[in-house]
Amino acid sequence: MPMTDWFSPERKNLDRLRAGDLEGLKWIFETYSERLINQCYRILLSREQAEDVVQDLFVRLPDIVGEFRGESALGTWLYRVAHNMCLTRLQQAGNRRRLEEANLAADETAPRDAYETSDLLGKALAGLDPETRSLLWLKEGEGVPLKELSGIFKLPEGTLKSRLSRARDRVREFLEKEERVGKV
Amino acid sequence: MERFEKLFRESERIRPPAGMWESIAARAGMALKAGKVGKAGERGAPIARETGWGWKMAASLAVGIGVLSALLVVMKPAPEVADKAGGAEDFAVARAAVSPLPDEDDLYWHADLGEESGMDWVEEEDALLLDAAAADATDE
Repeated sequence: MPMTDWFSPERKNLDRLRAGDLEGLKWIFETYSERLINQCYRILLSREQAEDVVQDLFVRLPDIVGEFRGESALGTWLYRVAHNMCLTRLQQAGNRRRLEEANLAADETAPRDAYETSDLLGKALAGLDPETRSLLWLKEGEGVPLKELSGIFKLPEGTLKSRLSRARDRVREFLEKEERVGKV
Repeated sequence: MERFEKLFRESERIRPPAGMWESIAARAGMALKAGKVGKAGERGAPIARETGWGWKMAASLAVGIGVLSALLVVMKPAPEVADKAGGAEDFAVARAAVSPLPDEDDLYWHADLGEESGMDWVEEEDALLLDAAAADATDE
């Protein structure tokens, strides 16, 4: 896992942010926001919520940047923060939904989830749990190496490999099913 | 191209909406102006110190040397104590000077003397009293 290079623009802009310079935050936003918003989109399966999480992340970044110790690349750390924020949001949404369901006593017409599964990948990922969605997207969609993924998910590479293998199988099954019904 | 790979490669990629940065800058800028920046060392150490193995090693070494020195100072006896300690012979002499114990034979002699002389004294007094009583009785 690459450590933060002392002389990189990343390091320079981190120091600027730590010094309270908004330009440091702007550089980090311009460099990482697109990757983060797509990661959040694939976890939350909602564009609106993804934008909301990323905005929240960057607003809070000046406050939480002290947590970053430079033991990994800044991108790795940001992926992890975004991943955790998305899972927290889903958990909160799940709690709210359970509460609403308890109050509404199982309304059959009520939507089961708020996913915006407009594209085929979104539909394929909807069949996986949020953590696996995040993992599969970062590997296949962003091309994040396994070693870096191990730092993001805090799991050994072997565990990630087997999870990825199972996830790929599930997506392939989904694609075959879609093909059979003539959607692909 | 395999369908699986195509699925990811041709998937929709979204971009941050226009005005997102301005909104973040407005909200984060207020925090920055208020000085709410998580400075390195507040919750985490600065990158330079965190990533520098040399610093870590040097600090560990310094702490180790410090602990060893302290242990040596504590364990080494003071010179005056060492001089007084001397050998077993010196110690015996010193003990005799501080608290001389009487010889066992001397104690026995004292005990015998006291007991015998005491008994002699009692027997002599008894004899005198008996003699006096006898004299008184005869006078009557």
